[in-house]
Formats: sequence, structure tokens, C-alpha cells
Amino acid sequence: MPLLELKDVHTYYGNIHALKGVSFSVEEGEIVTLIGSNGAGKTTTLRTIQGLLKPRQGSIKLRGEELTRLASHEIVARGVSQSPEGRLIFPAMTVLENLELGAYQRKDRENIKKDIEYVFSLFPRLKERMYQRGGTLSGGEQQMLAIGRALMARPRVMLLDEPSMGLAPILVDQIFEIIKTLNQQGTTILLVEQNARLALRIANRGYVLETGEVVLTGSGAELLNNPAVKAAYLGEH
Amino acid sequence: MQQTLSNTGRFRINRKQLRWLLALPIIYIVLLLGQPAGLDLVRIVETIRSDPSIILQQLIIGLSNGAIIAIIALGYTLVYGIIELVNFAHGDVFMLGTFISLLALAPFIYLTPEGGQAAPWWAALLGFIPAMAICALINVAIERVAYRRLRNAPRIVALISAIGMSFILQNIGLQLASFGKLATVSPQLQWLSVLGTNNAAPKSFPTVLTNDNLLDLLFPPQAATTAEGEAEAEPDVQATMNAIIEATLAASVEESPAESVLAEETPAEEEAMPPGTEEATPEPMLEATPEVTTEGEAMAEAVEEQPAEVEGAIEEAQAEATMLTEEATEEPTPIEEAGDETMPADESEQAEEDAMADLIATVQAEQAVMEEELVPAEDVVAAGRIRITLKDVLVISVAVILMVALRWFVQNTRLGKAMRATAQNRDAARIMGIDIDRIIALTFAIGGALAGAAGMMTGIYNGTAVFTMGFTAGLRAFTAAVLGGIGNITGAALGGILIGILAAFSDQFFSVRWTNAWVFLILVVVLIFRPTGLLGQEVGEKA
Repeated sequence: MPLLELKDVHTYYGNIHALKGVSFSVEEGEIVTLIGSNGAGKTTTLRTIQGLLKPRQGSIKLRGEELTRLASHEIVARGVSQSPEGRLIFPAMTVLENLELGAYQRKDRENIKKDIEYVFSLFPRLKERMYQRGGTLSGGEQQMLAIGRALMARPRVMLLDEPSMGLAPILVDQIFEIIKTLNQQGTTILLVEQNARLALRIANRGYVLETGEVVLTGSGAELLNNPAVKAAYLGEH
Repeated sequence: MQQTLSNTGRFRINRKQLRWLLALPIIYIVLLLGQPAGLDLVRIVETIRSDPSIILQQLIIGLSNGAIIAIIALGYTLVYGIIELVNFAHGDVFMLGTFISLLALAPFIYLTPEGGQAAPWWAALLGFIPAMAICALINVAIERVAYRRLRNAPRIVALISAIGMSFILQNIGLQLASFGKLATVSPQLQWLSVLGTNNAAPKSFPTVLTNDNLLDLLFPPQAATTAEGEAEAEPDVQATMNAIIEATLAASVEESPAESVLAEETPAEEEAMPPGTEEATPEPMLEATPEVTTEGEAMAEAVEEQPAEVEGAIEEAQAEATMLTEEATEEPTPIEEAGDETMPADESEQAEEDAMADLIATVQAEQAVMEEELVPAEDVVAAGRIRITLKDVLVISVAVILMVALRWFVQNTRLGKAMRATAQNRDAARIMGIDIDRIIALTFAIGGALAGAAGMMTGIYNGTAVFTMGFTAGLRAFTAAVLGGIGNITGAALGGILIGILAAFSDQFFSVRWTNAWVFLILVVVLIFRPTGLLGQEVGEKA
């Protein structure tokens, strides 16, 4: 049974048909990436999985359990966490408070402290800025905080929405290194990226989204070498 | 989000132009209309010169009323912070809270020897519980019924829903009073008579704490030659807890007769609010004689006039065979009466004296705290005429406790953090696994509980409940919230106290009738030059 499975998911913004029957699956321990251009429906897919948008049709299952009828806090409780598009750091709260909120659903105080230390070991910059307000962090630091915050939920599957957006290339490489490390340590990751090359390089499998539909799928390497993908997303001819 | 951003952008340009356009006519209007609105500098300066202590006195009154306004303002600011809705029904929740407080006190009402109605202080403290709990429930219900479904609708829709809710609650408040008619049905329902027979008429609270001046107790005024004798005699008078409180803080020579005068004039209201003055913000309590409250009349005059009235009162009192004759001879009577009514015969005098000593000690401690907070001790002693009552102490300390507790809750608890997270970004809060419906309901519950507490505080301090009071009080509290920076808890507290003090000074130095106008004028001026309010940075961060 796949860890996360979407079947024929249709989501609307008002009358706009944003997802037109998206189906894909994520196996335990994988990094799966959704690539596609702006407006293809990548972020919409993640928001639908998280319960922020309700699909009109289709099913989303986590280990066989239907998520579509659950509220987002119930979905978080079942092990889905997210570093959202735009990071959505709480600007008036300290780095530490942001991390604590990531563990909002958890009651095991002792482990929460350990996990905060773990996040600090991944992102030493965050430790230096522990008592600084989230709004005062740089873009890269905010991205680190968003990923760390998502980790704090101890998710079964972590959704990462455009972690490279707006970051300097060095920082992007760092962040992707850490995503790889996290995956090696056992976190299943669903990665949404516009930077298709980077994403496909670290992904086990990838899906290509175009105007709300999955048009292509394959392993990371396959897609990297696919001529259509090369032309459309990798800037090669 | 996109839309709000572009909106604020457009607004900012307009505001810059508006500042100059608005500031000039306002200054002009102030100078032109200031005179009839009480801005008569010559008279004000004269008043202050004749008794500078008025300033301190009004500061105390302003602080107390401001504390109440601040507590209501917190409800506006919390709700606005979390769902960006001005909950217009909030003032009316406060009004219902005042009625609930009145009903909570009603079963404990007894008649004082002077003929007024009173209730024991512990009943008021207990009364905070139902007032806060029921108001919390009411507010949660309002959110569930009137706002939740409109959360994603255009803001104006929810706003209109809020105004509708306000009208509904006001009418509930009006109808609530008809239960007063049940008082005649059976003796068990006698306590409902506090609601009176006329629905729309203001209902008066029983006296919970006296107007006696704590300063007279601690620093006996030089004029009162019998102060020492009183202090010795008093311990015998005290019996039950409430009797102890009331009489300890006691009855300076001037006051008891004055109160009896009032008791005759308006038997139900010991405080004797002038009937014409507006409901929500009754006259500052220090004006024990309503006639002298006419605008601009100095406190000093009011106080100096009292002796004459006292004599008159004594004569009247004698004629009516009440116990008040002269201080020296009157005291035995109350002792016996109080003893008969309230004191178990076997209670030893020694125990009472101990109790008294304890009480005086606690009062002194409280006093010390107050002095630290309010004014240097020397000033108080020197001024002599300033009055700080137990009511002031109670209202201010309850407000401080509530504010500190709220701040602690919001800053440090898990739910408090969830509240802040929801206020900052609702989607991000949901991604964290926060059940935002629950958090929003919790916010309304806290706001409602605060409104309920403010209802009881108003009952104790100002002593009236009327179904329209929510509108005025709500408007002032909303003003306070905006003044401090809406969405900001500290700002609401600060704004409330500022508005309270401003209103007190306007009542004293300008004109009672124009107080609201002055309050809103200050609001307008502040908003022109600082559109986010005094402490309103947090809202900016949100956009």
C-alpha cells in the first residue's frame, strides 16, 4: 500500500477548475517530486492534500485512510506536515516559538526538546537566531525555519513547496543537501519545485504536472533524460 | 491578501493628503466650538488654581473608569486581531454582563440601616464567576451563529451581521428586565425586583463597597477632631465581614449624613446618579451631591458645601428618627443594631478587634500598593481632599489582574501561542495542525468573559445597568482599542486608560455632555497622525 495516494483529485477555486483529475502515489521512504510550470497546479495539489482546499471529487489516502473529509488539523495529526509556499513563517514570533508551533499536535514534551535540538543541528543558523522574531530572518533562514517547523511534527510524509524559491544558489544547494539527508534518515518527502533539474536529481520518482493534470511520470533519471522534459523544464534543446 | 495589499497602498496615499486636509478644519472647529463644549481655558485654570488636587482626583476616577473601558476594549482587540472583524455586538455582551452581575447580586441584597440597598462584598466577588462564564458562552454563541459562516465572505457582510447581533442583544437586554414583574408572583422570586417594573429604566445596583475614603482612614483629616475617638469606637461596630469592611473604611463625619440625604432623595441609589446623565458612564462617584456636578464647579466647593448639608441632613435624620444624630451620640445605636442583626451574640470583642487589626493592616498594604501605582504618598497626604475608595482599589486591581493574566496566557500557554499564530496567519496556523475554529471560539470566549467581568466592575463602580449602556461603552472601548492600535493587547489596555482619564478630565473641566465628542476628537486626531494607533505595529506586520 502506498504511503500517500491521490486518485482522480479535482479541486476548484470558485469556478476555476485547478486540478483536473490528479493521480499519483508516494511510497514510504521515497522522495517524489512534482514539477511543472507556474499555474500547473503543484501548490494546489499540496494544499488539497493538507486539507486547506477541499477537492470536489476524488480520493486522497494516507496508508489507506481517506483524508478528503478531514479538517487540516486532523490531517496534521495523521502525519502530514508542510513547508508551504511563501514559507508562512509567523513573523511576530521567535524562531523557537515557530518551531514549537510545528509540534503543536504533539504532547511528548521531552521529545519535542530533542527534536528542536535536532533541527538546530541541521540548521545551526537557526540556533543563533533562536530568540529573534521570524519576520526579521533572511529569506534563506526563513526557508530553513519553515522546513524545520515542518519536521517538528514528526511527519510520515513531509510536503515541501518550492524550497529553492528566491534563494541564492549556494543556499539552494545547502537546502537540497539537507532534504537528501532528511530522506536518508527516514522522512518521506513530496517535493514541489520549479527548479526541475535539482528536484529530479534528488528524487526517486517524478510527476510532471501541466494545467492541472499529470502528463508524464517516471524515475528521476528517466525524466531528466526525457526530451520533452528537457525542452520544457530544463531549458535544453 | 493581494487585495488587502493593494488596498492599503491606495489608502496610504490618501491619508497623506487627508492629514493636512483634516487637521486644519479640526483645529478650526476646536477653537470655534471649544467654548460651548467646555474648552474655557480661563475657567479651567481658575478651577485648578483653587484646588490643584482635583487633577489627582480626576486621575484616579479616570484610571478606574479607564480600567473598565480597557477590559472591554480587550474584547474588541482580541476578536479583531484574530478574524479582523469589529465585533459590534461586544458592547452589548458587556451590557448583558452588567445585567447578569446585577442578577447575581440580587439574592444577597439587604437593606442598610440608612435605607439603601447593599450586598456583601463576597457576593460581588462570587458574581464575577457567572457573569464571566455566561458572557463567554454568549460570545461563543454569537460567533457560531453570526460570524463563522461569513468568515470568508467580504468583510462588510460580517460587519453588518455584527451590527444586527448588537440590536438583537440590546432587545434581549430590554426584555430581560420584564422578569422583574415575576417578583410579585412568589416570595421566592422576590429578588427579581432589582429589575424593576419599567423595562427601559436604569436599574441600580446594591452598594457593594462604600464610597468611604481610604485616605481618611489612614491619614485622619486634621479637621476631624473626633477621628481618634472614632477609630477606637469603631471596632465595636464591626461584626460580619461586610460590616467590618464597610465600617472600617468608615464613615468619616461628613459622609454618613450626606449619604442619608441621598438615601432619602433616591432611596434605591446610594450613589445618587443624576437621572439625566447618560447610563454607561455615570457621573464620577465622588460627586456625592448631584446638584454640585454642574459643569466646571470645583470639587473644593463641593466639599466645602458639605458641612452645611450635613447639618441639614442631621436635622432631617433626627426628624425621621433614623439613627444619625451626632457622631458622639449616634454611635451606640448602630453598635446595637449591627450587633442584633448580624453578629452572633457569643462572638468575643477581642476576636473582632483582632479582625479589625488584620483588616487595617491589609488595607494599609493595599494602600501602599496603590500609592506606588498612582501618586507619591506625600502628595496624597498634603492634598487631603482626594478620595480613593475601596471601589477604586477593587476595580483597578481586578483590571490589572485580568490584563496580566491575559497577557501571560497569550504569551506563554500552548493555546495562547495558537491564538497568536491564528492571528498572524490563518493558513499557516492550519498547517501547524491548529484547529482554528476552536481557537477562534476560544478567543470569543475570552473576550466575552472579559466583558462579563467589566459588567460586574461597572456594577460595583458606577452602579447602574440599562439596556442601552452597551452602545456607549462599546463605542468608547472600541475607540480605546483603535487608539491603542487595534489587534494589540497592550495597546487596548493603554487606550482604555487614556480614554478613561480623558473622559474624567472632560467631565470635570469641560462638560459632561461633550465628553464623547472630546473622546472622538482625540481619536480622530490620533488616527490622522498615527493611523495604526499608538502601539499599532503588529497589524502592519500581518499584511
